[in-house]
Amino acid sequence: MYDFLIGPMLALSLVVFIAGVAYRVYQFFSISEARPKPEANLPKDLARTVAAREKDEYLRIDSAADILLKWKLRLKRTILGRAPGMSSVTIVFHTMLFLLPVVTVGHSILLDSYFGISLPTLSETTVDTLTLVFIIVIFFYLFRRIFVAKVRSVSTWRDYLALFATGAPFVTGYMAFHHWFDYKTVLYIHIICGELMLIAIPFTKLVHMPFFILSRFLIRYELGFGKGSRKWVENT
Amino acid sequence: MAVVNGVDPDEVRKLLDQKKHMEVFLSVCVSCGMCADSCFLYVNHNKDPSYMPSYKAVHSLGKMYRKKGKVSREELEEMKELIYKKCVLCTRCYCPVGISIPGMIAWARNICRSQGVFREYDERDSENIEMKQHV
Repeated sequence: MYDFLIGPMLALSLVVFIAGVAYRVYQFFSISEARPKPEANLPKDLARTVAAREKDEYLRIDSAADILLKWKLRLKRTILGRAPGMSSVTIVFHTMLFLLPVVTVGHSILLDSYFGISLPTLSETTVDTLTLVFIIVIFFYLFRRIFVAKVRSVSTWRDYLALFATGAPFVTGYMAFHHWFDYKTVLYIHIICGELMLIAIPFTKLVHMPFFILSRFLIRYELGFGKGSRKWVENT
Repeated sequence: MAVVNGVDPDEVRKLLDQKKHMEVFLSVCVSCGMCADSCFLYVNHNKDPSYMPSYKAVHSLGKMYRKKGKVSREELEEMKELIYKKCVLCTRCYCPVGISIPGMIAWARNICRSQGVFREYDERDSENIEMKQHV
């Protein structure tokens, strides 16, 4: 059973995960198109005016004094500045979501035996504490979804499914590490949950993992991180 | 499919298919509720969740996509208040994941208009009268 779970089952879930994410990336590029630079079509002096306007004088940093005076204004334009509490929780949550599975000693041994990659690890007690923090954040999200009116009003079963798929591997992993209940059964459930989470990423709301990066770095809009070289395409 | 009660499902379907990216938006939205505070209507209406940008988009355009265009006139009439009265398309709502919410609401308006559901400016605005009484 164990050999099957960490052998063919793991390979299958990795293939589904990679193929699914690749399909989602392909889908993104098929529903967006390269945006011609509007400045290229303008006369030169007009283009210069547009460029000057786009550099927001209110936020532009020209000197050391500006760094001191304007960082608050710049921050207020981001979600981090608008909702600092929730943003911090989200950053901690997503950092640990990616970090914890990689730095766990047990996973590192598996990675080493499969691919010969040996990554730095954290001590078991550190990972244990961080997992506990992660589980607390998972429950914070769950209770927020149940009790905060604005979140509840848009929540569907798919949101709960995404939260469950993310939380289950960590909760079962914590249980397995502390040898709660029957160790072998819990370990098997932990492996299955982890593999199901990988499979779930392209098909559930967890698809925001690839979409977030693609959309915010490539699409041109006011809050984009990147240059914004693409726009959404319309099928007429 | 035949026209039922003045709503042509095929036409709605055709309009929905024009915006493939909006269907993806709806499958990506994690319902985090972070867009709420960026809407001045939400903030000024006692934090009523029905003024939340994602609520307005999910319960209008999202409903149309879920039903694959087979919406009834009653449902369109219900959406009317949501997309015409509760949103002014100021485009100030932000989404952490990068979804363009005003575009979705504008497209929902477009579909409603194509089926003859639009804002009637001469109707009695009960809500405004209530608000005046409170002042």
